[in-house]
Amino acid sequence: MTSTAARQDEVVRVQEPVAELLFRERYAEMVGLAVVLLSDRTAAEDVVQDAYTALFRHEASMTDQQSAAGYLVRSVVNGCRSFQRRKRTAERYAPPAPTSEASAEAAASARRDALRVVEAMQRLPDRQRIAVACHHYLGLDRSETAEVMGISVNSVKTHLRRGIRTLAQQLEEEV
Amino acid sequence: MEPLSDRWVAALQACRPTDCDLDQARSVILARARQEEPTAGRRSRPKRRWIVAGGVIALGASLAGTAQLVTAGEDSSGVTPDGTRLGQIISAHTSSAQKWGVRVTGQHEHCIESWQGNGGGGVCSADWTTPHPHPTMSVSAWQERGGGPPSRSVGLATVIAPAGRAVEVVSYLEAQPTTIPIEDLPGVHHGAATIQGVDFDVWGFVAPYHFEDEGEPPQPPTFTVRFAPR
Repeated sequence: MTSTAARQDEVVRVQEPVAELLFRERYAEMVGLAVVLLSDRTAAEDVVQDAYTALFRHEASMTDQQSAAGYLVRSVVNGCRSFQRRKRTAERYAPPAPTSEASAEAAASARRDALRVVEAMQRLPDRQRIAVACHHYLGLDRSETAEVMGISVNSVKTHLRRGIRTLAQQLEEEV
Repeated sequence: MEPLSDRWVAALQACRPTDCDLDQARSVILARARQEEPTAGRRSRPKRRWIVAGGVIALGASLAGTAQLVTAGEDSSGVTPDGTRLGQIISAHTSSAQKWGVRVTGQHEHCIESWQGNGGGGVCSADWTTPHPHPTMSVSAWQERGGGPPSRSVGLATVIAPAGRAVEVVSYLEAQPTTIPIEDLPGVHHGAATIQGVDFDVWGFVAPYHFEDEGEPPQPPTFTVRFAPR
């Protein structure tokens, strides 16, 4: 790309609303993050759409794309945690839906490894699961993960170490 | 720290879906953003001004294509302590002898089956098993090219909801091109029906849909609807 073209591209990118840019470029990635955390595609889309709803509403206060992206990731992670809490409450009052298992099985035939790792992720404690997802799915480093989770870098290291150890044990046992 | 093997890292990465419907998602997000705007000052609710009583049954009969949202029933599906619902069913069918298409997509169902009618009727359904206080779905029904002579048609969605549970349009994707001014159409109708002894509220949404016999027909009008907050 020529420097002129690059500048034009940059101008276009600067002019594009940050929420719209993040929606177009990262929506699917955010859905994947929520799928990893929730093991439920429908719920994942719901949570991610709520996060984007908040992003669109607060777009005016976003100073740059990086801070908006951070806000988005935190919204998705927090939305997933809230959903898990509501789901646990709901499951105490209603039997699990049979169609969830059926659709999960259908997905397994297409992406068996992905399903297995997501299922194994669900057995991790919340913080370990989020740390592993941020680090290994989103590719955030430890300090960025700490920022998303609102905890110290050392705590992130601890959650990552324990989460990966448990995850590896579970997955190796299943192989 | 033990590393997570490449195989499982790749498996995690593969969780990024490749089939996201961005248009649908954008419509839901923008609709939710509008719904959640602060209500200070006058709030624009253009869809609501169309609500009139009655007429949907006759309307449905004359236009023949319907898409229905039927719930499994408040009692059987269960209501969680925080008021969310489980186990709703989307159902859509056509009963016309002509070619009609019905498409139903939902944001909160685990199972989506798209179905396009070709006379004689049919059903697509999906279970809603995710708790959500205001589930949304998109419905559209349209006459397909070749199914009849008119090059001018309408999109129609009929939503059947439990009695007392209002349904509202949260977004509307207009078909292009249209030649019938929306103001000339009935818009949103509200009526009531008793089906197999159970009372339902019936909501009909109508929009212009125009296409010529030549070429690919445009996307039909699509309504995204949801149960109104209680």
